[in-house]
Amino acid sequence: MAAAGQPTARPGLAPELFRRLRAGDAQAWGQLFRGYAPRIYRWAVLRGVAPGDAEELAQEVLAVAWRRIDRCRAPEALTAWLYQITRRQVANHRRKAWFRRVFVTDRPPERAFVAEPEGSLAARAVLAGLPGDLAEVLIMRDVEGYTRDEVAALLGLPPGTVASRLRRARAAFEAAWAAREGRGP
Amino acid sequence: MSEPERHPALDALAQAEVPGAVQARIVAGAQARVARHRPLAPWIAAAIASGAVAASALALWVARPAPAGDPAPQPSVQAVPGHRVLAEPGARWQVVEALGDGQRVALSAGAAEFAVQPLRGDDAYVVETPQARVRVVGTRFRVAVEGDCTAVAVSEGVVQVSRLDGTEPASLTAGQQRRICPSPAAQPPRAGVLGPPPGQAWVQQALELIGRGEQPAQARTLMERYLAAYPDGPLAQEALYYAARLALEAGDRPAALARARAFVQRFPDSHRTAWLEGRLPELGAE
Repeated sequence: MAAAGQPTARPGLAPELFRRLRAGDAQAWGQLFRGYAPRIYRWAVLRGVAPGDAEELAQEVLAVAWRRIDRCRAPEALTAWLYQITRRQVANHRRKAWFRRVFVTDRPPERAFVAEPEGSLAARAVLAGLPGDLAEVLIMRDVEGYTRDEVAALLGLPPGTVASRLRRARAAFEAAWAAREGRGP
Repeated sequence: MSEPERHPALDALAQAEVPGAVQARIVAGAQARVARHRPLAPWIAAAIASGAVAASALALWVARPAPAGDPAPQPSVQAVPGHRVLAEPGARWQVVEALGDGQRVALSAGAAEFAVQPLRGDDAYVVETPQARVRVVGTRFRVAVEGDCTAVAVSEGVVQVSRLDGTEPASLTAGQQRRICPSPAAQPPRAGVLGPPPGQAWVQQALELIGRGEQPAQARTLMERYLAAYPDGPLAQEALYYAARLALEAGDRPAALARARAFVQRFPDSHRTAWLEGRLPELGAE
């Protein structure tokens, strides 16, 4: 659980664990799976994937990581690399989804978290309606709590772009939230 | 103009916890997916790297041949996103090219079972043997090269089977099989090929809509039409599964629960049963 505004985790992991992952150490992989499963699931859910599908998507992301770990060059890049895999899987999922309208209607999302309150569901519904490039910056900075530089590394963007997108994303979220609450625009 | 600040409505999301059961299922599922994979055999990897398998530049996975003298070889499972291939010991196969979200697979020896996700209209999943071509929309089937012949058996869905030159095409549905041999004289009676069963077109059209991500309501209507007309038909398993998922996605929980329950009761051994069973509690099943 992350406190508001605090990072849930920093990108990267211990070099020794990384070495063991690349060597195919099953224990190391178990550790990585347990550590990253909730995070990848959260990423997928926050990007609008239904909880059941997000579970399967997270499984596939971890399996892809296992198959392609040789493509991740450094331990400090692992989180960003996993996010990029997740991003591709989410895009693929959306493209191939039978029910694309699920992503574009205001149908309330299903509960995905422990004792998820209505406010959380509402926030997810608003996030799902934002343009993808704005939503992911907002999620990483204001929900997951990464710093601007960490978000830049995760998304492969210049820090200045992250800052400008964050401004637009916050404004878009505020407007959508206000509209939801009946306060315009 | 003031700088927009972090919205307090995001606090609840930032503090949201992932259920432990979800984490456990993801870890178990990922481990199962990993266990179904084997690394490329060194000689195959070297061949691909050297360009010896020129046509397989897009090859993703190639089955490891069963080692000589292996007393009890186990089936190997190879997967690419969206599709699964269960290659039996001794099978020789490779992905020759990508066809949109599908692919063309060459099976030169042995047998393999293929589980193919629904594809969009322009994409295809094709398995070719020295004798036959099997074209898939989205289904589960087994192909075996047996001497000079190829045997195809369908366990779910619909496939189109023809000779390798495209002649003698026929549709096979769940429960049907076909054997293709070099000369007509060598072929056994085609008792298994009965032509399209009643209502097949409805299911096929629905699967095509699903594969394209279009008109889910129409796809659901077609599946329900089939189930109403042929509740025990050869495609009932396919229709029931998709009717449940389409109802779930449409937010029709009573219908989704009824269809999911019926599927689980009628097809407890299906690979889809676990997924539907997992949805029953959230649909209100006691």
